[in-house]
Amino acid sequence: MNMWYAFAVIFIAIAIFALQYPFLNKNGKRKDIWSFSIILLFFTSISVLQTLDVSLPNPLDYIEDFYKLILG
Amino acid sequence: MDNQSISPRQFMFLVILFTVGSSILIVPSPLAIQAKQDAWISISISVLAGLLLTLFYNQVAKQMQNKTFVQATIYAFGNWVGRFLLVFYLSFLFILGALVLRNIGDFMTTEIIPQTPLQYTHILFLLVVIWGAFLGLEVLGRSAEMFMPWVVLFLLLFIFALLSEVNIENLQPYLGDGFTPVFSASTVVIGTPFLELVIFLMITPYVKDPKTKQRAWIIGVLVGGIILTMITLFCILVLGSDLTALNASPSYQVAQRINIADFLEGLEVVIGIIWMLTIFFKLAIIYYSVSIGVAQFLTMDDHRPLLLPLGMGMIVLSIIAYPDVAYFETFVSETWFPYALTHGLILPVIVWVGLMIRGMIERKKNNKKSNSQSS
Repeated sequence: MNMWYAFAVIFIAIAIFALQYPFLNKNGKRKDIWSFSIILLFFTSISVLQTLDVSLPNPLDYIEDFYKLILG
Repeated sequence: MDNQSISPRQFMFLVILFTVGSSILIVPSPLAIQAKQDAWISISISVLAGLLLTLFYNQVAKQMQNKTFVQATIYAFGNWVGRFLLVFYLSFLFILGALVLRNIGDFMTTEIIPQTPLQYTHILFLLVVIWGAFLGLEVLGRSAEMFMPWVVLFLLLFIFALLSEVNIENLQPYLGDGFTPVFSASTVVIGTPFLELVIFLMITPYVKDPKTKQRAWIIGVLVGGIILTMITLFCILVLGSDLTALNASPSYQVAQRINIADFLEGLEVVIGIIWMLTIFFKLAIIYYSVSIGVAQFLTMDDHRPLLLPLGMGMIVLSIIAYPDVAYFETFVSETWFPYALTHGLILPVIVWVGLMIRGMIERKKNNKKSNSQSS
């Protein structure tokens, strides 16, 4: 079942790319296309891992540890 | 970026909605845990601190000279150091967005639609927010103007319908445990929402009329603070400090007590509309600022392509952020204040000082140039 959610996430990511690529291409800035694609790829992989029940690191844990360290 | 602008009045409404949104749900119970029946005194202290903060933010905004916070930081510190500081600022905004999304998700699943999985509530809510951020600041400002009367109307209904339930003994004894718990509790409200107001440094350059916009910001914070104080006061007056401390969303529990002449009951969902409206605007402002900030960070022309990818990340973060209720409570009452203080006060101070030094260097350069030209 989780597999299907992962496929759905990948499908949505492809749809987002297909939706936005024409706009980005029209402006003709190579760097914009790259930064958009990298952000999309990064968050898609995180979402896929989340749907597959991989336990992801929680940024709030790091924040909590950091301030415990400083404030004692 | 796109040439959008909002009027000072719309800006004021956005500040009010931002201040009230989500804090209205999560603030009363940690306050009641720490300060008990004096929670309303500590929230009044926090409103004063919020006003002082706003005066400071106005000074920062003056130094920024029609640049957003992201552009101003890069201008003051150069490409590398500026971007290093901005990674923290933008991650703060992004995490704030995810936590606000989780607030509305938790509220909906515990009180209104318990059968629906959290993910779907988040996705549906965020889609509307993305649509708002896609249309831009002008549309958000105008819709804030449209919805403000409704929020005021429902708040007045809330207050007048509860007047008969008020029990003034719940406030006594005043300052029973002295001032210490009152002051330590006030940090909760300074963290949520007043230090979060730093986000409006991304919005102020788009507000017309530089003179009145400072006043609009301060009045917005004042009105928002008064609304929060009134809600907390009514939670304690009606429920008492013990019940307020126990409930996850006491302001909603209070609304369940509304009973007009044994005839009109179950109005809490109507009151819940205020919560949803204010949280929508808060999240839309955060989301717009994050996407504009990331776009300016990467020197992109348009922020719109970033909206959907960032949304995917925000949904995942909002799901994994709080494993359970106990984690949420300790995070809100202990960790959030130092975290927000670092990004809401210390970081703007650094940027403010940097901007002033930068301004002095530029002026000297100009003087030299004009001197050398004249000689």
